[in-house]
Amino acid sequence: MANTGIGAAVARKEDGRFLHGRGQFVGDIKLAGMLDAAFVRSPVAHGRIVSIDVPEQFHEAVFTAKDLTGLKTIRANSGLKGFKSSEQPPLASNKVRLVGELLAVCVGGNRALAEDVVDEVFANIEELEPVTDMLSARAPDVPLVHEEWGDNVFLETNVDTGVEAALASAPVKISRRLRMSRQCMAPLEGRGVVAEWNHRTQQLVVHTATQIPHIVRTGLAECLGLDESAVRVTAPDVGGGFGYKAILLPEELVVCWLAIHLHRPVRWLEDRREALTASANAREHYYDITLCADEEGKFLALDAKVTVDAGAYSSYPFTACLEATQVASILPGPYNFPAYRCQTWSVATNKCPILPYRGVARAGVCYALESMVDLVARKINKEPHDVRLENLITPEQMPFDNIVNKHFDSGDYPECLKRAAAAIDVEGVRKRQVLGEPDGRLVGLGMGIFNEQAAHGTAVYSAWGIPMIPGYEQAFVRFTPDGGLEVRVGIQCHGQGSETTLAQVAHEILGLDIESIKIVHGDTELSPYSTGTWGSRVMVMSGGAVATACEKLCERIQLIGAHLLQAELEDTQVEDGYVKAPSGQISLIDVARTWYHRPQDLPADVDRQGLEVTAGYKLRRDDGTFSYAAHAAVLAVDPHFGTVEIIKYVVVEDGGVLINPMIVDGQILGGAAQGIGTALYEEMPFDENGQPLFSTLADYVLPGATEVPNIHIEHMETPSPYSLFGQKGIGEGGAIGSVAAVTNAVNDALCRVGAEVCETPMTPRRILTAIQDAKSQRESVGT
Amino acid sequence: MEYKAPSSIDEAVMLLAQANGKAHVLAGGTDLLVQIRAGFTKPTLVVDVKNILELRTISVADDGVCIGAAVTGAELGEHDAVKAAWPGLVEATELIGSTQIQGRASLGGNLCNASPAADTVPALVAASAICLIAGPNGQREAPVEQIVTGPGQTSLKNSEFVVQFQLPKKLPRSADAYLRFIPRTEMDIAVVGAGVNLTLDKKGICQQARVALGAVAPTVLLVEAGAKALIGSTLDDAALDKLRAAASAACNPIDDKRGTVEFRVDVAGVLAKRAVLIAKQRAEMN
Ligand SMILES: Cc1cc2nc3c(=O)[nH]c(=O)nc-3n(C[C@H](O)[C@H](O)[C@H](O)COP(=O)(O)OP(=O)(O)OC[C@H]3O[C@@H](n4cnc5c(N)ncnc54)[C@H](O)[C@@H]3O)c2cc1C
Repeated sequence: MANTGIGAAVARKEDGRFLHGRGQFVGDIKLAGMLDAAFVRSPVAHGRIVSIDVPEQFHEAVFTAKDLTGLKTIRANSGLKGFKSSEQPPLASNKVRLVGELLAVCVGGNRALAEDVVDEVFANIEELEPVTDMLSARAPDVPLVHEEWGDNVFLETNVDTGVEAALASAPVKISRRLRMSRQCMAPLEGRGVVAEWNHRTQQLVVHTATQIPHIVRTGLAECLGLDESAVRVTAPDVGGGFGYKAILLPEELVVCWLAIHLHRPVRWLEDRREALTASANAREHYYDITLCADEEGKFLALDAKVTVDAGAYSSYPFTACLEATQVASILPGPYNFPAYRCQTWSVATNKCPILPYRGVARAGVCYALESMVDLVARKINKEPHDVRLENLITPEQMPFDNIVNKHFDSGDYPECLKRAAAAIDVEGVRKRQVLGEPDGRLVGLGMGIFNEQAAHGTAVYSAWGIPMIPGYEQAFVRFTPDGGLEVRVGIQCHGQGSETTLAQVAHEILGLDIESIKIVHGDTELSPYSTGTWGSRVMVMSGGAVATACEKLCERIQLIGAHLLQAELEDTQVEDGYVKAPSGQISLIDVARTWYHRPQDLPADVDRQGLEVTAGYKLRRDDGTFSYAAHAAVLAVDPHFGTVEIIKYVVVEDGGVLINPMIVDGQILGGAAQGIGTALYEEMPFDENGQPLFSTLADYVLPGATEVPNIHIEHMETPSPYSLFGQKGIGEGGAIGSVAAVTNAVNDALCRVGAEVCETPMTPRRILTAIQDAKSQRESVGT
Repeated sequence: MEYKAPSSIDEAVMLLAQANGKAHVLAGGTDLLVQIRAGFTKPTLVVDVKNILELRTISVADDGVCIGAAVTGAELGEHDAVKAAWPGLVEATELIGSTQIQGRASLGGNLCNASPAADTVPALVAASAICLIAGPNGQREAPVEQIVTGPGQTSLKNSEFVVQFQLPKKLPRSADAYLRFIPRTEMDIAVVGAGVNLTLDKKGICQQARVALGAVAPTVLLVEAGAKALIGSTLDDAALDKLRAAASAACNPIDDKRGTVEFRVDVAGVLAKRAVLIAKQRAEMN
């Protein structure tokens, strides 16, 4: 039998239904008598609601804040000192704080009818001056998003190990202002929710496209004033999440309230316009950053002031401060810094709340830090990767506690970088650059190396002030009478292939055919409580829990087997689907049949716990695992169009022990595509009135198949000393290193004409402007 | 909404003339069906012209090529003679959409949809294409550049439609080319498009030239000053710089997030220049 356990590139069990078009998404759920909901959304970014006028004939079909009795506001409070709380009402009642904020909900027999009603509702709003720029938002005398705060800052943080000396005396000191633009997450499937009240079970049943069914259940119960047991949340097939589906939505609350009060199932399916303009916003960082080094490029200090535009509200459960607080704790990257200072501001503006997006904070951090490393290298005339090598933590130093006490678990960062440099052929590219291109394009080479803390636990999240802190992850396993295995987990699989990888883990322990192992997830009624799928945690945490539960189950199976074989327990072992003893063997199926259907064959004092186990798992350390990778890109910039073509792309990744290398590759490829989007294409701009300017995928440019190059992936497999099999979380890494590799390559190309772009995405317009500016500067210097 | 699929030009003209309410010609439907579904237009009658032979035929004769208005992009792309004679027009056509769209999209639809960014129109204008138009008063001819009068608007009278495009006889040492600029490399709408058609003499001196720009004004622009810059030159750097300046000067684009005015103006010049270089290379080879 081919290996289907840990390390095997098993084809994904879940793909059959997707490839046949038989996935079951929220949009596929049709319930008798179901109503569709559509929302009246605020057309202005900041204003006071004077009235919401509903024509008489539509009163039954329209609900505003005052109708939603008993519904509480969404609050996601950071535990950090000084955090200012925001209250997000499911439907705005007094003020509106962003374009697209919900004002009223309309219901109809289908979406079109509901939208017709939306058109009849008139919101009379007295406009207030909006706050749209995170930097000026902190100036005195600006309008306030939340008046009671007195300013527009959710939270300010400070880390300072003392950098003044280095700043005063460092031989090399480079400063920049770098911006990472606001982006939108664009999973294929938007958000969607269907809610109904089940009279038999006295439960609100909510089908929602979420990564975190249990957390949504807690949030819904809290805001609706229901017992948690009266809420069941199921996440059916979910078409991508990336963080956008790791929040509690006001729309979810409203739809649930309607279902309860109208006694009918109610559905809301987000359209792309709603996602882009009113919901799926992410990133938007501003770095005022200084890197100090000696003449050899050895880093002496890193000093940064970082502002994050958190938008109008603190989203549940990750809060408005997840980005900025993480930035402060990870900005030093995989390098050794003797001195570090970082001040952060999570600023409130009249824009969409920013939500966690794959590579939360880290994509921005890696972009900012790696840009600075390249600048230092350029200044001292060294190959950037040599400067990196000079400063990377070495394998001899592992495990390593860095300047902000991050505990890097394992790995050989320099080797990873060297392999990437070899694979991308740094010398070859440098030669090519000297020769120049026949078509006049400028070739650039860029790299980005990072480490990705994943599956981080309780202590880390409590230090970030997140109200929903992961503790132990649990799994329930049941050996069924026919010898199959049911595995129930509280995480949610929305593309990661966990239905396959978790089965591989169970197979590894029990030796059962993975076809007979079924992973059940995405249903609060069926699975142990879990904070869900995010933070690259599933393979480590849920994988650990599944293994632990299977081990316990294995012991019980073995005990029964030993009895049936009339052997001493110590003389038996479970292997290849059998309990084996010197006297003979018995198949696991026979063990199962005996337990369930022939209990008379078992001794009277048999262990009564049976063949069902719930077991928990926690990583040996709360710091989690640190996977890492180096991305390297070669690209060509057209100096007349400002367009970029990626010519070659390499990733060297260390994800520890790979459970399924094919699935890991898929994660890296998808993430890299997103990072290429961040670097070159994706941006959600707002005008000075706070109007989001892009509302379709024609304007909001995502990279397509032709923009994403062939990506060459190499693996290193340094086991994490802290996880069960040595595996490390890698879910987000692809989206982290890619931004830096591509942006550094663009600037490497542009430095040949003295130009530099300090902002993502590096669009044709920005690149041309930079070239133009460099030219004017040269000319003005010349005259 | 009524749907008719006549098999002759006369029948189609009659149906359109007799329609009460809004009537639309349907070719590939890759614009029209999208617009109907989005509620932008609510026709009472749709006349599918895909069953009319004249609109579905490509014919090559001594005096030029005729392309039926409803011939699909895929059909055109596989037609060796047209490809050899008008590579620029064919490449413009093949830029439309994706493989699926190519199986449907037509030149007639691309023109009559009257989008300023339509890809084939600058190529058709550069090629001096003439439209054969059918209507209640019989058939008439008009140069392509006279059809579109503004975004979404054409000079076609009620119940008129385009039957075919007539391309002139191709002279020796002449060739066309089309380039567009989009933020991505596929599946996008032109931020700027440039079509060029050139004739050189034996010494490589440009005898005739037409330069057309798309997406930089409400309608496709025929840039006469650009052509002037080229004619009489060997298409040397000086001539190309003049062309670039003329192309940029002709632009009157909108300022939107897909491209600022400055950006479009700048790119239009570079694009026109590059299209000329491609056409030149082709012309030298035939
Ligand atoms: C996914 C996608 C991608 C696209 N990409 C591009 C692109 O890259 N570049 C581009 O230019 N366009 C693009 N388009 C637009 C469209 O495909 C083209 O404009 C196409 O050429 C339209 O041709 P059609 O035959 O489908 O027109 P239809 O939709 O059938 O008709 C379009 C309009 O023209 C009228 N019409 C059609 N034929 C005639 C006729 N013979 N006489 C008079 N009126 C007529 C119709 O009444 C209608 O108003 C894209 C569309 C889609 C859906």
